[in-house]
Amino acid sequence: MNKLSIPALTLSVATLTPALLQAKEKKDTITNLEEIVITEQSARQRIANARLGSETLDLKLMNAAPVLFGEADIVKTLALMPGVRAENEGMGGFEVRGGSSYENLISLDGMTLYNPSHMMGIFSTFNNDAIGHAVLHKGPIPANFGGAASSVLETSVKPGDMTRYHGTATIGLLSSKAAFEGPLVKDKLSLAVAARRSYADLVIGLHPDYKDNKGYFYDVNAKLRWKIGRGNTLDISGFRASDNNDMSGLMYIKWGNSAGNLNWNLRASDNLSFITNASATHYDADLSQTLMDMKQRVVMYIHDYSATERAIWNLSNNHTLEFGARTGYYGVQSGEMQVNSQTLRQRRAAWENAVWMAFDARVAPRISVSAGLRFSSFNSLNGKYSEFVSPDEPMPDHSFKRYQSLEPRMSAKYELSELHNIKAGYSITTQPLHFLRTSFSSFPFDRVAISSPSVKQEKAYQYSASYAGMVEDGAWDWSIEGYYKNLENVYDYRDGYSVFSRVNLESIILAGKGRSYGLEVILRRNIGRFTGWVAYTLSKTESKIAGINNDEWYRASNDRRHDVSIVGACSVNDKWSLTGSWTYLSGKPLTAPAGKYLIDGQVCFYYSGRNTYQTPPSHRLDITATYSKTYKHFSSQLAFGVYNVYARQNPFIVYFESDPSNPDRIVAKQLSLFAFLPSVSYTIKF
Amino acid sequence: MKKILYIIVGCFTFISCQKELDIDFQSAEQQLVIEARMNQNGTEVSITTTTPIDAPKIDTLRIKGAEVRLHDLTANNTETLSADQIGVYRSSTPGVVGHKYQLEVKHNGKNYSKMLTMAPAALGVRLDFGWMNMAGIRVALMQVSVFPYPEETYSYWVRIYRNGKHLAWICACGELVENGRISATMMVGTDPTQDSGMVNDSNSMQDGDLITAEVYTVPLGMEDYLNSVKNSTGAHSQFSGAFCLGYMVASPLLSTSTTFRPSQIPG
Repeated sequence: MNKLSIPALTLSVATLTPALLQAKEKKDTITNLEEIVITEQSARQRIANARLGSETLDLKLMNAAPVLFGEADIVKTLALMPGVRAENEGMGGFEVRGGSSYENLISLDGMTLYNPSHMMGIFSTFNNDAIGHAVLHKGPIPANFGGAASSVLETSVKPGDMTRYHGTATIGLLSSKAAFEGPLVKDKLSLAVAARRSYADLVIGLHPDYKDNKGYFYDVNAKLRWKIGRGNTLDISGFRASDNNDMSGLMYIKWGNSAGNLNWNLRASDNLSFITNASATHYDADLSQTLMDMKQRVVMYIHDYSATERAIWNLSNNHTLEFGARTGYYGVQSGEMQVNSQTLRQRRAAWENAVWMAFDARVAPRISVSAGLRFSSFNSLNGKYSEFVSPDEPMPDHSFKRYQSLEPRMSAKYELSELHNIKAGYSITTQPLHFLRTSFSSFPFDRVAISSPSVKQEKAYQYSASYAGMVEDGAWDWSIEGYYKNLENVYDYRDGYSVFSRVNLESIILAGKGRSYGLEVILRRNIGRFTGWVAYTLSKTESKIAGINNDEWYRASNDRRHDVSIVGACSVNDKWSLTGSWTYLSGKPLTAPAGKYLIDGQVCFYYSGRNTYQTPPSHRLDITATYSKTYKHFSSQLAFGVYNVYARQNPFIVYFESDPSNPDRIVAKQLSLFAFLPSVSYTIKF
Repeated sequence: MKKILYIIVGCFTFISCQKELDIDFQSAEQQLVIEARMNQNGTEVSITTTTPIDAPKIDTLRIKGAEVRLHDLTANNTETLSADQIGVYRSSTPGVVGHKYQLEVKHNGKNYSKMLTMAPAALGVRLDFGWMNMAGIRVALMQVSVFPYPEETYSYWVRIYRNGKHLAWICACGELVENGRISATMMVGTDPTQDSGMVNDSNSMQDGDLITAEVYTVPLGMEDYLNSVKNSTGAHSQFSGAFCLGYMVASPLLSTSTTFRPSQIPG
């Protein structure tokens, strides 16, 4: 996947609206909790944006999102946008326009993050104190990004202040976090560091029976910025997120991302800039169990290294031309399985190269175009780069294979007036990594099939169009957007196989096609004591894979018909503010048994079709009340939240089992999480 | 300290809950289920059908009117199996290791067929018990070790019975031989002498239970089928011809029994 995010560029081309200028001035004079206002996107900016389907996340409304255990989460905020939803009730993954959470490219300062979640997906690894900027591209994605069929979440770590020191610390129920930023050399070199750790294990470990158990996560973000000269900046970013769970040494499960990035921005002249980027990510997951003299272990990894060069030429105030090139290496070990000293594994690698050009321009007084063309060449490597050890399975094809693709991406905007516009867009995107989900949600040990002679790249063709408008003073804005997507080379498990059935993953998956279409509507209130939005998405997503569901179209596992979000933020007075959200999501497709039979006394199920049933719908209300106070040298914030206020039992997993009192009777059981979950957190900031 | 733990446990009680869903199940065509087992004592074939998922009872009535033929393709002879009083089609001719067999079933105008070579028996099977300390609770473990046939790689289907009733399946993959054996471990209950506060379910072993393990040698790859049945991932048909469910195994049957005595478990 390609993974570049250049926040500096985004800021330089952004229109500085009066609101933004005020916020910037405010930041210069006081240091309090409102400084994140600089990332807010006004209605006018949204209307001005030529790119279709790009959503800048308003970090100010972060607390309007569901706050689980006192942890505000950028991904849960994203899930309140039209066309975006949480992967599962309360989970940290998100799905965009019929894609799975694995079809999103998640980029942090140019580093790709894989499965960026804590606690089996309950939280994302994004620490909101560290994030300076977040944009979701769900329509035609910029040409400098590749490798994701569905969307790109482009985020960046906040750089340290070059002149003053700032810090923040938060104590929550589940975890605490701290962030620090400031100059190492004034106006030359700055550092920003943010870290978070959960501590339930420290409390539980005080009990002698639990002292050998571990269960914690942590993440650390750091960014060093060196202003070499005017228009010449070097950033070094690092990220580490890890989950560690150990049960008395008998069983452990750990996973996480370690990533680093070097980004050099050079303004060679008034019109020409170069951005040079090198990044590396290691995603590792390790699961082990020792029972009696049996030790079983599953180890997987994704290693991702890339280097990118971009040249951006401002032809005039309204014309920007970009040329870029990228080279990247993937190393994937999908599920090495060890039993005592026996090891079975499959390892593959690939080398991907891409070049692109992009053009942003106002081509006529009312018409703006944002267009790009990306050419990528994906090479599945053989020889020492691949390995297969499983003597009794069919040997997969490990020969060299090249896939080349030409990917046009285009958005065009026609301004009906200063306040109203229509847009249309088209894009082709490809994705070489196929993640095969184990269950309802993404899981750290989900298998990964990298494109090879027997597995083709997924290809998505998206057509979209929108109308957007606002009132004169920007108090209200709205948009309606429709999309249609065709997907090629969508993979799913064959009937009867699941995650660890075989080492040779290619032999237990089948390829087919998919389609998704939908309509997204949003109405926003931007000014006044009460702000927020109402969003609604109507969508349908289906797959057709020969060998599954009698070769007929079936509902994709992430098909949800209706998705409603109502989000509000109310400033009660100078000290108190209230935020809340209500969400509704149609039920998720469910495969249920059609018949039952006995084999050797065990009740077995017969399935006649895939995803022919649906779980009950999910809905809930989340609220947060925040008390803020500003002192001479610092400010504080006390936040009280309730997740799922009316304790709705939303389906997390639905499964089928024998009724213990009558084993012949099969019952469907729904497991729900997080009914009425209060939280509290306290933050100080200087 | 205890108060803190109660608070944490209380929080997690709020977090998760379970309930039964009322699902309006769709009707589906009944499917034939063929269970065929060949060993050193002969062959048994049982034919049933699937029951609609929402029926209160599983229909275990065996079909008696089918035509069942067993061909020994190596010895070139054919035997027609007839159903006994309870509907099991039997042959008392012992299976011969290395012979290739074909089972043919005809029912309601449809043909079902399975070809299989009789596999050799494993060299042995053993049951061991141990304890595991899980957050202060002693959990009993049972390890099943199969000593595989050394000259060719097979998988092994271990069926565990408690007091003669089905308890569990274990599918031991022949690729994972370690020190001359393939092992699998399962949790079987908590220490009855310890007040763990946990309630053992009906599958938990009790002091004095007779535990029996029966082992069939099966071709590599059949563990995919057995696991898919066990894990409810939609088993693929094991027979050619018309679609049906079920399986055929052919190998000498190996078994061992032991009595579960928690007081005698070491540790």
